[in-house]
Amino acid sequence: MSDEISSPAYFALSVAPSPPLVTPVRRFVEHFFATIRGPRATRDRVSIACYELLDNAIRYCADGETDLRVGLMPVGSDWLVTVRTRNRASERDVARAVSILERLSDDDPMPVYVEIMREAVGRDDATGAGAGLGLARVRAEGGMKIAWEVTGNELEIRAEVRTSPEDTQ
Amino acid sequence: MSDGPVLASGDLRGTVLRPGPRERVLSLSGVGDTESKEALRDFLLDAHRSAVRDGAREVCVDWLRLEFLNSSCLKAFLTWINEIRSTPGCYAVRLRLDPASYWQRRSAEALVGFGGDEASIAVDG
Repeated sequence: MSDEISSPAYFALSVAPSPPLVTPVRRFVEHFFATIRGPRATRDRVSIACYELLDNAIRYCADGETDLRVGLMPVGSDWLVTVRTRNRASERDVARAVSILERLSDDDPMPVYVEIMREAVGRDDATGAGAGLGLARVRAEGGMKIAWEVTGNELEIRAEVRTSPEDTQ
Repeated sequence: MSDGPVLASGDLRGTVLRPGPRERVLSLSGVGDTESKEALRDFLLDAHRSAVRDGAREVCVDWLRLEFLNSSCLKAFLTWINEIRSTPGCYAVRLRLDPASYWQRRSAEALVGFGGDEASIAVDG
């Protein structure tokens, strides 16, 4: 990562539930990482995470308020990159998200990702909504570890990855 | 020579080219988001039916100018590959990627894993 940012940094957005905002936010995040000359792979990992986590948060938000926070923490010559979303949702939607996240906790998420892809195709819903494709992408394609916390009806999801200046994997 | 359906939905564009009698090239560009998911699925399934009808041996999907696909649009690809898996003797798929794009490579790997042994999917780039 470039030395233009040499100390912990973050930005945070509060987003009213509006699906058309997801792509502009993703582009903003990509532009941010390009500006600090982050490796392309890191930029793409964070891009996937921002899009899919924010899209889910907006889709299942119960009260019109969704928060997104992207943080960078230097760790030696590496960076710890964190994407966090927080929103309130119905008990049923929180339980479903947690169930998917638990399935994705294995060290090798690809077998579960293939299972989730097959489940998504079997759904009548054209979007595959609720199948967990978005969360599975963050974990399996982005290679990010995902933690979560439920407080009442509020769900916080935190995806993070430690990247090096040569991140290409 | 252009052939078959054309996709124009939101920021996503797609065309079908027929460089040879038994080849198809599906070129996609722009951004595939939730708004485009159904149009993309229909585009792929229309192209599939046309390719099967004409006995195509290979369908190349060109992502070189594709900025991003979300998971809903990825599901359109899963639906398409599922059709290929259930069509005996179906054509092979070739995914042409932007070599610099990490997300394209990872999504392509996921599609190959989904296709398993029942769909022939090669990746360039």
